[in-house]
Amino acid sequence: MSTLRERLGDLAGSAPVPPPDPDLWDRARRYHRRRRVGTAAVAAACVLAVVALVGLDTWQRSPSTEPAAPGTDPALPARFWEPSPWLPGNDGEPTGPLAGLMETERKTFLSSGDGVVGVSATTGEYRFLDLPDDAHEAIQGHALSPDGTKVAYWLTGETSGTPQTGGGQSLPVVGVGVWDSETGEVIRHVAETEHGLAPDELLWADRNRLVVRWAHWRVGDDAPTRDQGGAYDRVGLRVWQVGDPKGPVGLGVSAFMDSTNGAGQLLLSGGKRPVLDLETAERTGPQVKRKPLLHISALSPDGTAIAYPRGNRNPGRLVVATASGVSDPLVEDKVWAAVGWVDDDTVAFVTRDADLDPISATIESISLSTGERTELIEAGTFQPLPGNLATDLLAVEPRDFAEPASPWNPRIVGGLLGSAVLVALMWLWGWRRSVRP
Amino acid sequence: MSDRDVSTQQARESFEEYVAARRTALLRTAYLLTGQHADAEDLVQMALVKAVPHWRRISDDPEPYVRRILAREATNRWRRRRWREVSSDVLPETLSEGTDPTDREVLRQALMRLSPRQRAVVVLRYFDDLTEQQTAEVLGIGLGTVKSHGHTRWPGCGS
Repeated sequence: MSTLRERLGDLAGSAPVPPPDPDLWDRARRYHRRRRVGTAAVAAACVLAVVALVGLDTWQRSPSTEPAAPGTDPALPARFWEPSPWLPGNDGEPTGPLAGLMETERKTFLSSGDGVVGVSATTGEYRFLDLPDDAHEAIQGHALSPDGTKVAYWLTGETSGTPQTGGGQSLPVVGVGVWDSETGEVIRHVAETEHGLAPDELLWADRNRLVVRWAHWRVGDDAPTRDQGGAYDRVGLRVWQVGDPKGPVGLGVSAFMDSTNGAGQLLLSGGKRPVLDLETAERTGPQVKRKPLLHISALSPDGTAIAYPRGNRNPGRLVVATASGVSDPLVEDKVWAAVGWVDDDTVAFVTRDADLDPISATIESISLSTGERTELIEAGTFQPLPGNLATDLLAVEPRDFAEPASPWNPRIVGGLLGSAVLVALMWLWGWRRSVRP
Repeated sequence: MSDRDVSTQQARESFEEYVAARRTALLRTAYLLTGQHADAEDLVQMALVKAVPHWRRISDDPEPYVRRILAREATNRWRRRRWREVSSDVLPETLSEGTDPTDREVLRQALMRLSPRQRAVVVLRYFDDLTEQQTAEVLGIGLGTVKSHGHTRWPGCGS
């Protein structure tokens, strides 16, 4: 019996005996040179692909608009665009006057939530506003001053007791903040509250006075569910001269706000005299009849006329109520809302093309004296409401700004980058294995 | 001629001397590892080619480095060709019945029925006379794996 070693030696005797190969050294050197060149080429292609993707992504994120020249007058854009949820934030930096606010979903690589986009009135740039301690209230959570230089919002913070947050679905509200879009400063008023505030209304009466309404939650999240949801308010509407350390002062008015004229007068939700002048505290104004909804009326600069779509249902025909009565319909088209007054004679209003998907809105104006109708702004899916449009700028001709940046989904960009690197590595691996000396 | 050229020339001469002296021995091992003449020549050529960039560093004792490349390349090549081969968890206990157990072809076929790693362990342990520890180092595998692959009785063979 032979050993395995002997049998292997015997079998190895059958190994081939090829002729000498004097060229082997040179071929080996060429082979390694080829592999190095190939590796460098693939690495370069991979780097190029990554650089191209990162560059494209950066380009998509970067503002497509030029910085505003110093002294550029603010204006509303001739068109509002659907904001991308991947837009960058302003990091608290001043943006300059804003033309409008758009509350929309904000997404990052790892998360998503509520956000508010500010549209620059000087460059047309779109940015999410990083407002310090923003409670991100979904309804009337932010209000833009008529001149576009201040954004009011509900502040979140610590309550003295257990806050009521709907089981963590919202942040506890403790006051109001005002962010200055020209300086980036924030002025705050924090109310003493045990369980947090139930935010209600937030509108600018004029460029410096904010009108708010809040109530106090009665119990916190630790109370039985049946006791939650109740809030008390003994003050009603409050007005705050922004920066006044006394904070918002009660007006003794329990009615709801419809809108303001940006000149210190409030249009309240009903009554024979729905206009409240903050200077005189007098109730005046024409009575509004057959108005179906809040937040669709516009008070004239002098507080004597109210434009609104009339009817029991929205949309309706645009009319103007004055001391002498309610006018005949001004336009034949159905109007969704009066947005504001361009001047004492001209009303801005919203029509929508319901045949388009999504419904597309247009802001138009009409002269009361001549009936001349002008298309001002292609609003798209943007819904002009009290507090999200710089209504002072209706008097300025809208400007054609460039389309805002539309960043790519960073998850897709990351996936593409990873795929590019993976494909390159796999190709390199396969090529290095296939190349022969 | 620069120092680098001189050094390269010396490395080349050293390489060619080594190839002339050891190529036949390498081919014998490679043949046991592959079971095919063409594959054995290919395997030796690839091992030598891969050693060239490192030759200046290993020229004093190139044999362990070249044999390590040879063994590992043999098992790596198997990964590319595994569809052609059938791996086995155990060494074949019996050769084909009715055949002469000393027949080279029978042994070659028996080796080819092993997985490349098992085959490499057998060749390194019983043909190249490496210890279990050396075999594990050359193949880059654990000592336990070498032991499990190598401690199998071959019928018709002494230890």
